[in-house]
Amino acid sequence: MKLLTCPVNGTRPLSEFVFGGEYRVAPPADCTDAEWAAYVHNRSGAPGIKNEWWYHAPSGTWFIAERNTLTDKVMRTYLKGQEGSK
Amino acid sequence: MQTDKFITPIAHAFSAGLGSWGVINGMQVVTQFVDKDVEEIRKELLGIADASFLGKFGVKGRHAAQWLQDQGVDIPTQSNSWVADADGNLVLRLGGSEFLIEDAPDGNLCEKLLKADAKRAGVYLVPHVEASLVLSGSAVQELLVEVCSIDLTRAALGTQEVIMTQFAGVSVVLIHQDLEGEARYRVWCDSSYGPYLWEFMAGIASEHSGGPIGVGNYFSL
Repeated sequence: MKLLTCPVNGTRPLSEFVFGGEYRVAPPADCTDAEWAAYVHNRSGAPGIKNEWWYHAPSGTWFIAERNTLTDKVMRTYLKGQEGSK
Repeated sequence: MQTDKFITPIAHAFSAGLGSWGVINGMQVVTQFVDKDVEEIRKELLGIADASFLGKFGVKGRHAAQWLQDQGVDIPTQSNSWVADADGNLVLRLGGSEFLIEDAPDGNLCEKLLKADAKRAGVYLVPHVEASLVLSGSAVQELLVEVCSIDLTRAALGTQEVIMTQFAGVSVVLIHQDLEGEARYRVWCDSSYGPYLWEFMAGIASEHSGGPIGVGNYFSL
């Protein structure tokens, strides 16, 4: 059974979680059209360490997981805004 | 007090002519499923009861904790924990800033809170109409390991811990409560999943010679 650790509720089976896509920072509002188009349409599919949104469905908790998409190892999970807490 | 137009959200799991029906706190519920003696035996082995009639109240927001304290409600200090007041009303802290309150059978705390002024920034009322269940008995752990992936034994749970997990694929809130010298599990789930979860768990209970029992076996009504 695969496990993932919710920063609020603790370690739970992966079946309790929903993947929410890669966490990406939007460009500033005064960015160029090309920058905005790149943000909306382009994704980097190269494997590596990425920050991803995950959702713990029973509690309604959204959090960020730092995961190596090549090895599927999760380095850490944290709530948005609490990056430095772990 | 609710009006008598309500029926338990688990009603769709009950076949026609099942048991004895009654109205408790304005909600139609099955008060007795089988003979009293049989229900007592089921309770000892693995009893499951419907407590959806108990009044519920929800509030969330960054000032929800302060607002509840202003209303004279004792709240848990830790996230994902619960307390019961002297009257038996339950206060569950779901995460950091959301609360679920459930009345004791003869309580009216939720009614008082609904009438209180909650029009304050950072305080948001959350309607709660969950299906509410009670589980107990010597084989209750057998049921829990069949429906849930995590360790829910007494040793694994803190005494006042609130667990948000899934039972048979359904999101639930769970606590372990010692009441009148008896260990019970309380489970809340979305009302639309109530009949499914009831049928699933009642089926497992039957395999262990337990089964559905009237909620009067757990609460003085």
